[in-house]
Amino acid sequence: MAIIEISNASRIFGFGDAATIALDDVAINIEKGEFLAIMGPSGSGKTTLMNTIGLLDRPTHGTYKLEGRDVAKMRVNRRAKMRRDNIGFVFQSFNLLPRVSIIENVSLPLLYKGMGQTKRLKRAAAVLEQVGLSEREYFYPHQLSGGELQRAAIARALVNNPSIIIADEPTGNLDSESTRVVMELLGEVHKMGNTILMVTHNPILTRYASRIIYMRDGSIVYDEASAVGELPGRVERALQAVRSSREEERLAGVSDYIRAIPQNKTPARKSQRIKKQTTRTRKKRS
Amino acid sequence: MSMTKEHIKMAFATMSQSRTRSFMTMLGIIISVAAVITIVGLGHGLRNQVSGQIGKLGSNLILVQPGQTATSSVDLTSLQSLASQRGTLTEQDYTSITKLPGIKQISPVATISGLPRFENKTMERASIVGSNDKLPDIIGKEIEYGSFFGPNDTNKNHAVIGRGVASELFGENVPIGKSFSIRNSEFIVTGVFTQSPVTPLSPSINFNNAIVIPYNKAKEIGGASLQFIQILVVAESAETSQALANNIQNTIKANHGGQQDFSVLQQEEALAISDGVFSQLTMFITGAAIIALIVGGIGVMNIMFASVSERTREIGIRKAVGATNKQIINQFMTEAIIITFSGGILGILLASVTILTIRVTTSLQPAFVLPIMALALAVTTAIGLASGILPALKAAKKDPIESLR
Repeated sequence: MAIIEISNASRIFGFGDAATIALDDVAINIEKGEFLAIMGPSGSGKTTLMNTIGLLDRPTHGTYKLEGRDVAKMRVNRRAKMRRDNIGFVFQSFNLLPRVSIIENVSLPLLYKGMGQTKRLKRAAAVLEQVGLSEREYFYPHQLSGGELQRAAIARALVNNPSIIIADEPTGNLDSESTRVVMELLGEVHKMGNTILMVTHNPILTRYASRIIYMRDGSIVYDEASAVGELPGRVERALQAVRSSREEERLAGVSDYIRAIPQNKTPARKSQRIKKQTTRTRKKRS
Repeated sequence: MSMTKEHIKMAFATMSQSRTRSFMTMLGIIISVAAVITIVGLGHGLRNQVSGQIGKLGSNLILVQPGQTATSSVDLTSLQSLASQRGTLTEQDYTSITKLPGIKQISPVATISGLPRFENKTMERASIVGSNDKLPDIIGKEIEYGSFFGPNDTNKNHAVIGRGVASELFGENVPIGKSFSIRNSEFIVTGVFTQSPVTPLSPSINFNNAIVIPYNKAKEIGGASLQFIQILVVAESAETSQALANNIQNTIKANHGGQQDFSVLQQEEALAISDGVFSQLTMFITGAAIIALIVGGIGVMNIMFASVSERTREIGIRKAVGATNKQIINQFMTEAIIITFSGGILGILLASVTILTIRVTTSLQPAFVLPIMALALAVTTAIGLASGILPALKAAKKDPIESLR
C-alpha cells in the first residue's frame, strides 16, 4: 500500500483574478522506502507539494491520504500530531533554534510528544551519533558549520522515527564537500528503509534517488524510476543538452571568435578605473 | 506535566537571554507590587500601633473627647473634624463628671499653649499637658527615671517630661532636678517617661514631646489657653461601663444646652474609628496600585507581542516539528505568567527590604502582611494570564509556512 496517496489535489492561493494555481490537479502515490527527488523550475509548485505532503498546508481541492488516513480535512491539532509522529523536516536554511543546544534542538519533536527529559536526550544523543555529531551535542547552532547544521537538522528529522522525511533543498546552502556528506547521510537513511522526499535544483543529486518527478506550473510533467547511484535517463539527456547549449548561443549571435577573446578581467578593470577617475574629479571639484 | 515543566524552563531560558528587557518589563509589576505591600504594611503597622495604644487603655475606659466623632461610616475627614473642634469641653464638664457615681479613676488631659524655656533654649514642638496623678495608670504609661507626681502634689510646680523633651530641651537623658520655665513659672523635672512608639495619624498626644504638669498648675498658668483634649474615665467595672458612659453623655449634653458637640467613646468605638480610617486609606492605595498593576500588565502584553513577532521563525520551527496550537499557546502564556510572577516575587523582596529599612530607620513599624503578599502573587499571576492570552493566540495563529519563509 502506498504511504502517500494524493489524487486530484489542487492548491490555489488568492481569489478571483489574483488567484495563483500552485498545484494543478496533482495525483501521486508514494510507496514506503522510496527516495523521491522532485525537480522543476522555481514557481513550479515543488515546495507547495512538499508543504502539502508535510501537513503544513492543505489542498484546496482533492484528497490526500497519509498511511491510509484522509488528512486533507483533518483539524489543525490532529494534523500537528500527525506531523509530529509521521514527518521529519529538513530545510534549506536548517531552521534550528538558535538559542538552544544541538541536542535539545534534535530532541524537540520528542518534547512535543511529551517524552521525559532523560529519555529524550538519550534518544537524541543516539541519533546524533548516527549522523556523526556526538562530539557537538552541547554546541550551539552558531558554533557549527553549514554541513554540521544540516546533519543536526537531519538528526532532528530522524529522532521521531517518522515514516517520511521531507527535505526541501537540503544542500542549497552548502558547499560541494558538505553537500556530498549530507547526501551520503540521506542515502544511508534511505537504505535503512526510510521514505525520503527531496526537492532539489541540482540534477546530479538525483543519483541518490530511486524516483524522480519533474514539475512545471503546478503539475507533475514527468515521473521516472531510476536505480540508486545512476543518473536517470532524462537528467542524463538534460545535462547533455546543457553541454550542447553553446551551439544555441552561437546561433543567437555570440560567435566562438568573440568568446575566445579574454574578456573576464579587462572590462572590469576599465570600469573600476572610470569609477576612480570620476570620484577623483568629484573630489577636486569639491 | 512534563510539558509545563519544559515551558517553565523555556521561559526562564528566554528571560535570561534578554535579561535587561525582561527586567524592564517586570519593573512596572515590581514597583506596583512593592508599593502595595509596603503601604498596606505601613497601614497595618500604624493600625497595630494605634490599636495597641487604645487596647492598652483597658476595657473599662471611657474617652470623652471634644467634637463629634462619627463612629459609624467613618471617613477621612473625621480626623480633621476632631482636630478642628477642640475646646468644646470645659472645666465645668470635667467637674460635673467627677461627681458622677461609679467612677474608679478620672484624669483630665488638657493642653495649654506656652514655650518651655531652659537656660537659653526653647522647644516649640513640646506640648504642655495638664493632668493628674492617675494619668500614667490609666493610659499605661511608665516612668523611666524619677516619679510621676502624687495625689498631694497637685499644686506643686512639678513636671514629668518625655524622652524627646529631655534630649531636645535639656540635652541629656535624665535632667531630673533641673528647673525650666513655662509662661514665667518655674517647674522642676521630677520624672522622665519611657520612650513611647510614635503613632502618626493618632489623635492622642505624642508623649515623647510632652511636658506633663499638674492640672491645677496648668489651669493657673494657662488661663484661657487651656483646652481639653480628652477626659479619661475608668469605670468601676466592665458591667457599669456602659451605664456610666450614658450618664456622662447626658450630663455633658445638659451642660452644653443639648448640643452633641463632644464624643463619649468606649474602647471598641475608639478602635472602630481608627480601623475605619486605616481601612479607607488602604482601599485608596490598593485602588491606585491596581491601576499601576494594570498598566504594568499592558507593558507585559506589549513585550509579549513584540516577542511573538520576533520569534516568528521559532514558532514556525516548533510547529513544523509537531507542536500543537495548544502547546504554542501554553508556551507563551507560561512565559507571560513567569514574567509577571517573577515581578511579583521581586516586588515582595523589594517591599520586604523597604519595610525593614523603614523599621530600622524610623519609628514607624510597618508590618509584613502575609495575606497581601499572597494576594499580590495571585494578582500578578492573573495579570500574566490576562496579558499573555492575546500574544499567545497570535503566536498560535501564525502560519508555519509563512513563519519559515
